Amino acid sequence: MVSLKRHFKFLIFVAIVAVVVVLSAFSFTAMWEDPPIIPGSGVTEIRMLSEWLPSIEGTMLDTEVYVINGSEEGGKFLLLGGTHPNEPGGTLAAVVFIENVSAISGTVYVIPRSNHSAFTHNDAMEGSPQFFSIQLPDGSQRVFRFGSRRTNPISQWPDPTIYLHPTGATLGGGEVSNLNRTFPGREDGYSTEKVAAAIMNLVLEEEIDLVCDLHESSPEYPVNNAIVFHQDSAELAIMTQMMLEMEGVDIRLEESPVNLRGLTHREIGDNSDAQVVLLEVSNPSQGRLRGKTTEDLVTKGIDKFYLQASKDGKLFAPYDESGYPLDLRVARHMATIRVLIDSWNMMFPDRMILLSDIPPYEGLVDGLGTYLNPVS
Amino acid sequence: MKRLLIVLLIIGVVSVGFAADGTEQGFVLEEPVAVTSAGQSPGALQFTVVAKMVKLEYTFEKLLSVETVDISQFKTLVLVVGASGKGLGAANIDIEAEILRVKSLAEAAEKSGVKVVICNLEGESRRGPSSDRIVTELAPFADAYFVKSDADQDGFFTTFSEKAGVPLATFEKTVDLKDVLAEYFGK
Repeated sequence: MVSLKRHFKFLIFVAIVAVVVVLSAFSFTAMWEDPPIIPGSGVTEIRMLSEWLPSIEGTMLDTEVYVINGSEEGGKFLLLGGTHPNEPGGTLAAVVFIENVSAISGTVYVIPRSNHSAFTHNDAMEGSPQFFSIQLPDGSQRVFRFGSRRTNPISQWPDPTIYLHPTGATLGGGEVSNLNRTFPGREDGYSTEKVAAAIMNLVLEEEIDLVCDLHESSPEYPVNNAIVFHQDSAELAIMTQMMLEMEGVDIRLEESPVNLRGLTHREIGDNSDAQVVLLEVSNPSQGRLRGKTTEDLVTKGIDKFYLQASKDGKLFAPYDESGYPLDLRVARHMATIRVLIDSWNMMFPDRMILLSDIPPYEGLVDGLGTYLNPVS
Repeated sequence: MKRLLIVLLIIGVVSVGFAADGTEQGFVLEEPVAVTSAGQSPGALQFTVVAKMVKLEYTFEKLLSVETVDISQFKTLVLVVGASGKGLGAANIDIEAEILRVKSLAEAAEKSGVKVVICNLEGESRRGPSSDRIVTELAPFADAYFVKSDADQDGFFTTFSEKAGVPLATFEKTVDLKDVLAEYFGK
């Protein structure tokens, strides 16, 4: 009788575990589906990253490359979003670009989910939301994922204790699943290195002139609201900063350290003829000082702990009661891209990249939903 | 280079004027100019871009040092202050070594009769304990300050300028530095 009772309790326990596992599985796998991106009329072709590295075809690593081709010859520009999928301002700026911008001359390649695998999960122990949504003027919602800084362990596991970068530099083992530490990549290396290698192949084979990698950073991090530039891109970055400043958008400059390996602005710059910059904008849902990490924090950026930190002078970005909303973060990125391209065109008129319909700063600040296409 | 000059000219034409609230009549600076960073932020690079706008004759080295250059060959030494952890790390030096380097330069300049200009070109974003310490260490050698206005909201640079009786020229936007340079260098 006692044995039967014990077995019954065990069966109940197993059943509860099974229910939790099944429900969790539904929750986890919900992130495996890509939310739609609705390309604007400027997109002339959608290719896959695996075209530049066939070994990633059919895996979680493969991702779309949206091509915006002008009718006239010109320079070639690669825009990377989602290198870190827990930095939604970068992803959303790339999506807004795809859904609005057209080219008159030159070609733009946009990869909105550069580390595609890292969009399919989020960071353990961070309490981050899996999804967040943006309201459109017609009342509908667009849903996006709040992913991870690192590649999904399903794609790459285990990571080594120490990551030996192709240059010989050593990094913490976890950095081998951080796309922005694995450039220029290895075609036969770790999964994340393969993604970097594919992007590097794209840069070289398509003869990209200019690369811009979109990121966000914690408000307490010194490199904030900034353009990080490879030394060969110094004049372009400085020109962009000065022109933005004249428009009332303050942005600081940081030169890419030569000894900090694996980053886009270092390795693409060192291994190609492209000029490379990385943009940072302040994201309160990412930092260590934040309170409860809700969808509202991701989109509105209002957090009482960051407000206090700001009052105490501990932040490297402006912060007040109005927070640091996603609308503003995307607006800053888009304004910087526009001025970067303007600066490029002034400096390299023979490799002109003429774009139209770039959403204006003020319009995006008022609501980026206006610049997202409804899902039919 | 030609392309860059065209761009700089365009920016120069559309830029707004500066506020030279600390300029003193009769104080002039001369070329050639040695430019270096004091803290390894990109401010010194920005200075060189603006210097090109007014065709200033300058030599730029991030890590200009008394060991590698005879400072007396210049008429003016511009120290662009801005402490950057990334920049210092990339140069493999710490803040103490950086302060030692720029102080040695300023001392050598003073001995050789070379005018020393302390410049903040990145505004409030380069105000902090390390940057302020660099300015404080260099202040005894300063002959002039060129400072972006938002870096002096608390009167930090004004205090040094008034104490030493040396001019302070402030400007609103980075590009407005060209007007300060034009005035002080007679361009």
